[in-house]
Amino acid sequence: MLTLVSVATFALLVVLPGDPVVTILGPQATPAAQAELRHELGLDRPVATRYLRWAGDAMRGDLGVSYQTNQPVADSLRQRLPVSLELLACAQILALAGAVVLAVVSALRVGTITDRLIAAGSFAGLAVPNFAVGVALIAVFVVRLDWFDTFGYVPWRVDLLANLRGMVLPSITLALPLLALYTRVLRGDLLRALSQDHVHQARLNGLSPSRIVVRHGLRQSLATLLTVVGLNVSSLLGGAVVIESLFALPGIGRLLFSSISERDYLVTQGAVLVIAACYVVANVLVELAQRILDPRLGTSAERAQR
Amino acid sequence: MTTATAHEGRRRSCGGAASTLAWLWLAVIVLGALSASWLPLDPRRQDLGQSRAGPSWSHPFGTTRLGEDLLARVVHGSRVSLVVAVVATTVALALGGLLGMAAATVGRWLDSVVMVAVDAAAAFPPLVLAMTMVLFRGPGLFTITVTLAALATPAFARVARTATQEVIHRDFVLAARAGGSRTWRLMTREVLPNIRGPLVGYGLIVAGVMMLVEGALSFLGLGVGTDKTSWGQLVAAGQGEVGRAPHLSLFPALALSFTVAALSHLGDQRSRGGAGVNAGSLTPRRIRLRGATAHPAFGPLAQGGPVNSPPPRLEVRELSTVLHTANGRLAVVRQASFTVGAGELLGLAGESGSGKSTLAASLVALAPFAVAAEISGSVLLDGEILFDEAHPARSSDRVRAARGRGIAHILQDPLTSLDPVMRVGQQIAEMARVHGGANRRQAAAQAVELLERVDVADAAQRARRFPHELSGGQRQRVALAMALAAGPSVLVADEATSALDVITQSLLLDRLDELRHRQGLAVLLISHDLRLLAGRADRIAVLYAGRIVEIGPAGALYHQPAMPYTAALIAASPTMSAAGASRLATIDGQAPDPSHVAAGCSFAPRCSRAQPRCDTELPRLRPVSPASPDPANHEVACFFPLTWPPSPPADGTRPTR
Repeated sequence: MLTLVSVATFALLVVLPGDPVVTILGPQATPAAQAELRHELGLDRPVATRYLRWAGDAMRGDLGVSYQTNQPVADSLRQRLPVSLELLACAQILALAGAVVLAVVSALRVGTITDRLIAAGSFAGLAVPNFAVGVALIAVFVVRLDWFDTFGYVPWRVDLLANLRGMVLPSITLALPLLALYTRVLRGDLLRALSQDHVHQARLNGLSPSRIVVRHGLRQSLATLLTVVGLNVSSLLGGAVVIESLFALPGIGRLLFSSISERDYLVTQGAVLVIAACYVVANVLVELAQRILDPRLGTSAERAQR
Repeated sequence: MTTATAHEGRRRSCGGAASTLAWLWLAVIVLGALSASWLPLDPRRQDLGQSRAGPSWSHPFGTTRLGEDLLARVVHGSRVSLVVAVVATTVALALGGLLGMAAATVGRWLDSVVMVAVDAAAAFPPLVLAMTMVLFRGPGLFTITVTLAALATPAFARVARTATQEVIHRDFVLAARAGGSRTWRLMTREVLPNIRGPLVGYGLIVAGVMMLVEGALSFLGLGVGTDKTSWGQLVAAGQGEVGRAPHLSLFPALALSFTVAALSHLGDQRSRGGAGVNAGSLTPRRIRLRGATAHPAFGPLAQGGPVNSPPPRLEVRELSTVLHTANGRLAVVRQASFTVGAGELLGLAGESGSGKSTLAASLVALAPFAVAAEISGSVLLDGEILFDEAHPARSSDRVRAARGRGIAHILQDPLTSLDPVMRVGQQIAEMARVHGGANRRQAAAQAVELLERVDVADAAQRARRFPHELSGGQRQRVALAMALAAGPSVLVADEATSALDVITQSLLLDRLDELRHRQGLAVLLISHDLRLLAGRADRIAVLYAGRIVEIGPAGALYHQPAMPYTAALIAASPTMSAAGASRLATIDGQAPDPSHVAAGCSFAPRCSRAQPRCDTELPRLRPVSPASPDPANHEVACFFPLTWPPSPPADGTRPTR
């Protein structure tokens, strides 16, 4: 699958108009100089050869060197990826924790005002443009209240507290639509789980409603929710560019954005590859977690159902 | 529980109101977009004197930096936003739908190709596609529409594939396939009409999401382009001036958000379809019972042992349950009264739909299908009132405390009645912890002990298994151990042996016998199988349409049924010796509709002995032989019982109704 993604990226970049050589040397460069650089970068060879060479190098961990900065692509990814991963992790944790609480409260009070408020809130959370939320948060907490002054990213190795402070607003912004989505998915699954026989049995056994929801409903429902979490990973890693630029975070989304506008193809290639790899890893983790949560998932019949 | 019903009702009407609101809003938006050119709203007329003015009468939404009317821009922007979302969604729906359907119907190879592509697309960051598209064609309507459509297509393919797979396994599609329908015909005639609902529902949600994505792309300068105006672009453009003129992004954002919310609400409703309360088992259905027609062959029967009147463990008086289902109010249990003494086994017989399970759950003031219920009458446990008129069922603390501890239940299918994702030992231990106050380790030890008591070999090993790793018999033993964990006085076994093979069944029943003889456990054994009950029970009660129509000592009731319905049930139960003479014994007519309470006997419409009186007057339980009252009280609710000597001719005389 990684191969497929990288071929697709390669193909997209090849058909793109615009020439990296022109971008590097500027429009005034002589054709001779252009040809020389093109040869130096290997861009004069056939597309298939270029791809195979790149793929071969990539397997050894060498993603090439940026046309623009002459920095090895692997190095710049190594700098950018932790930022994006941290943002992603913070947002997912916030969203998941919030969704569990809201969905449990909702399921315990089906049909009440609380339930309907939560449902309405989750619709609203999905309907508001993400960047508008970010801008509003900045306007209120940074400009008006002056609670967060630090802009930009402080590596956690340097100052953990400052790092977390810097992550608060961007993670909330990113988490909000996720929270809404997860709450909706989880509430539905919980209610479905609560109509099962074993929940009726638990009621007959005299267990309290909160115990039934938490211990006999939530676990199964979480397994389904995790699928949704896994599917989101790549669009969040690469798509967080809006939030990264709003909060001046040097994440992989911005790297992707600038590399494409500057025709820095090796960087684009590398970033896409890394994002796809993260997606694969995340989904393997999700599957593992699901098997722990739901022991029936080992068998093929059950899996086909899901 | 009545309050829960009220909420339910209000919620339904509220869902209706929300839908109406959503439709209204969308109608206004679409009308506005269609008539934008004819409205006196010019998005381009600049008035530099009115730069960034707040909302006023002449400019309800305020003005932009160049003094343009924001309302006009929002109305005109709706056209672009709608066109982009609608066109992109339609294209993606058609393409993805076709791909998904084809993947599920054509063959395995296509399915794997499509699924790998869909998976790879999910791993591919959407931003890269959006950016390369813009670099390729430059920003504009066409670019963004194609981009959004391309991004959404894999998701539609996934949804269509899942929906198709569900449809394709249904009988009528399988039949069409077997009948040699071509794949294309199959897809258009059988599959498409059935997956349209979920696909269109999902499409509405996606259309809303597309508007948001278009906004985000506009924010990055990858939107519809600066010469066009869309909502997303208006919001994005206003972001830079949030400090000075918040209305610039507020109004377009509100328009955008309301529309997205309306779309996703309607989409949600559609794709969910009719997900109401499942009252399937409550709706009347025609029953078919098989077996000998005339007389049952008599098997070895237990004689009703002399009950030397200890205080009844369980006493039920006039128990009635009304369920509030999607089909209306159903009186499922009606004035049921009976007692179960210490060590006694009372069999409760009836067809499916007769109210057996509801009755069982009502004993502890619960309803079986998680629906709202009104439970009245009274239940006494060991002489102590759990609920009655003075202590209503829904608010009684005593009945809550009795669940699991005083009255324990075992349900029919232990595969579904045990929590599938919890080790069985933990489930038993949970009961010991909740009711007995044991700590974690004690409870775990107790669980193993309980498993040993119900003959589970290797109890310590088995306790660590999940339900699906055990056999059916072992699972039912686990369920029994769980029921016994809190030391109940009464055990209700609701069809608990029906799913088991004969040997496991009798082993389990032997264990129950032992428990009631040694510990004085009272057992209510519920079954559709009168023959099984006759072999085990001390007394039997027969339930029809929620009423106990006959109750008495097992032997007397089985050999000399007084109620025509009981006789029909016995005649319909399969017996070994009657195997040669097995003709289908069906009871004519339909099982009564629980939403219509008959004035008279519920069985009358199907009864060959019925007289006009049966339709108008309700027969009460009374002794079978009034002259010499039976010490064990064989009672029947019938005006013309089978033991009544002068029976009228069965056919022909029944008056038409």
